[in-house]
This record gives sequence, C-alpha cells and structure tokens, in this order.
Amino acid sequence: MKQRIFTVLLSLACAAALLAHAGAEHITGFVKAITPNSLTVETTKHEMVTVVLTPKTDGVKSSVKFNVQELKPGERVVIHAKKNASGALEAIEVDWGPRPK
Amino acid sequence: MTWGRLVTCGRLVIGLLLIVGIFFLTKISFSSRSSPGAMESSIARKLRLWSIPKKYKSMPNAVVCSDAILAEAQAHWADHCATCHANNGSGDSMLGRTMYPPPPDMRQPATQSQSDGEIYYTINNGVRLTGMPAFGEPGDRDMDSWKLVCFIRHLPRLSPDEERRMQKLNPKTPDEIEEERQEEEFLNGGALNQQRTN
Repeated sequence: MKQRIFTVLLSLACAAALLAHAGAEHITGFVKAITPNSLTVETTKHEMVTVVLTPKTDGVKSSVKFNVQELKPGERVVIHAKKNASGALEAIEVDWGPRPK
Repeated sequence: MTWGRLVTCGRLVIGLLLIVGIFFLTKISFSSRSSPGAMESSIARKLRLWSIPKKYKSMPNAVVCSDAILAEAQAHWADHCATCHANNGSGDSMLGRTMYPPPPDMRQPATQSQSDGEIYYTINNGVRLTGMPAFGEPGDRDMDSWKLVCFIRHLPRLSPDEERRMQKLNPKTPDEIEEERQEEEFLNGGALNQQRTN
C-alpha cells in the first residue's frame, strides 16, 4: 500500500515538475538598460530582449531578495519571465550575482 | 384506480425522471476547470467536518512545533504537498488551479480555525472525491503528519525568503536540474551559449 501511495505521489510530482515551468522563459544575458518598467538584456546569443518589470517582479541577488532597480548595465542576469495578456514578456524573477555555494 | 393504471402511472413517472435526469446530465459539466458553487462548497465542508470522529476535534498536536520540526515539515511540504497546495498553501499551483474541488487556501480561517486534530485527520485520511489522498500510517500517531500540522499553522506567517528556500526543494526533472546548473554557472562568471524556453 505504502508503495502504491509512493508511486502515485511520484507520478504526481513528476507531472508537476514537467508542467511547473510550462510557458515560462528563462533569459540569460547581460543587462543593457533598465527603466522603472522594463529591463533590456543582451542574451548570450547576442539578441536584445526587453522584459516588463512589475511591482510583483522579485529581484534576487546572490540568493537574497534585492531591488531590481539596483541592477547596472553589464551585470549578468537570469530572468524568469512569462508572457502577459498583451503578449509582452513579464519578469517574474530576476537573478543576479554569484549564487552562494 | 386499477392495478394496470398504477403500473402505467409508475412507468410515466420513471420515464419523466429519466428525461429530467438526461437533461441535467447534458447540462452538468464534468470539467474540472469550473469551481464549485458557494452552496456546494459550504455543504461539502460541513459534511466533511461532521464526518471527522469526535476524538480528533479535541486532540492536541502530538509533536511540539519547534524550529527544527518546522524546518523538517517545511521541506516535507515542499517535496510532497506543494505540487497541489503550492509552497505558500494558497493552492495556486499548476495542478491546484485546475482541480475540482480546488485545494483550499490553507492560510484562511476555513482551515486555520480547525483544530490540530481535525487537520491531522484530513492529512492522514484524505478526502474522498477530491485530489487529496491519505498520507502516512493509519491511526493517530503518524508523526510526519503531525509535523505537517505545525507547518500548516505557520502558513499565514510564511515569509518570501522561506518560500524561496522551499522552491529549491520542489520536485524537479533532470532537465530542470541541468538548467539550474547552467544558470548558476553563468551567474558565477561562466559561459552559457543558449537561451531556453521550457
């Protein structure tokens, strides 16, 4: 019985993990410009991508919450974004700074 | 009234009921995308609470909710419960959003006003006709479930930092693990030559 419950839970967990980031885009690159409402980065493929910043956007510097507006051009960032209702990429979380080991 | 007329009336009534039944069946949606109405939710919640054996209503938590217990339960929740209930207990997860009935927002009084024993009973016995299975060993001494009660009590005060730590403990696929490794490498100054869409 325990094994069955475990199997069901494992299947659910795998399904959730597969779906967890559905539709989310991870943008990795260097900050080009930042305004109160947007962040433009040059990706590692040398493409310019602009994401919308909202009050809900979380800034995380070296795994600690930080204000996104403190970002400076040239800094390395990983942006977790989703398309909003109008089709624009909206940043959910912006990570920068080395992650502590 | 003769016996024959009674039989005819009975057949008519059964036929009518069948027609009404078929009509309602075609009107009722079996999609899990809709949400239960207020009356359905209220009746189901009351019936479920009434069904919990009396002894659980006054049963105190079998564990002391220390920081260590809370941390353990938090990790357990992130790994096993957050898939449906979300890390913060809101139920706003990929699976939770489209379940019928949806998982409750456990930070709200509907859950928080229940006794420790009632919450334990729900974890340990599950809820029929919902997505909630029974967890742990049957009976009232499953310590992991009691520890989860500690965490459920903590949910209304869960901080964003705690939530972020829990995200690291959520189940991940090998692809997601590799993706995180590459992101970490890039943030630490390494090279990364791709942009991914998952």
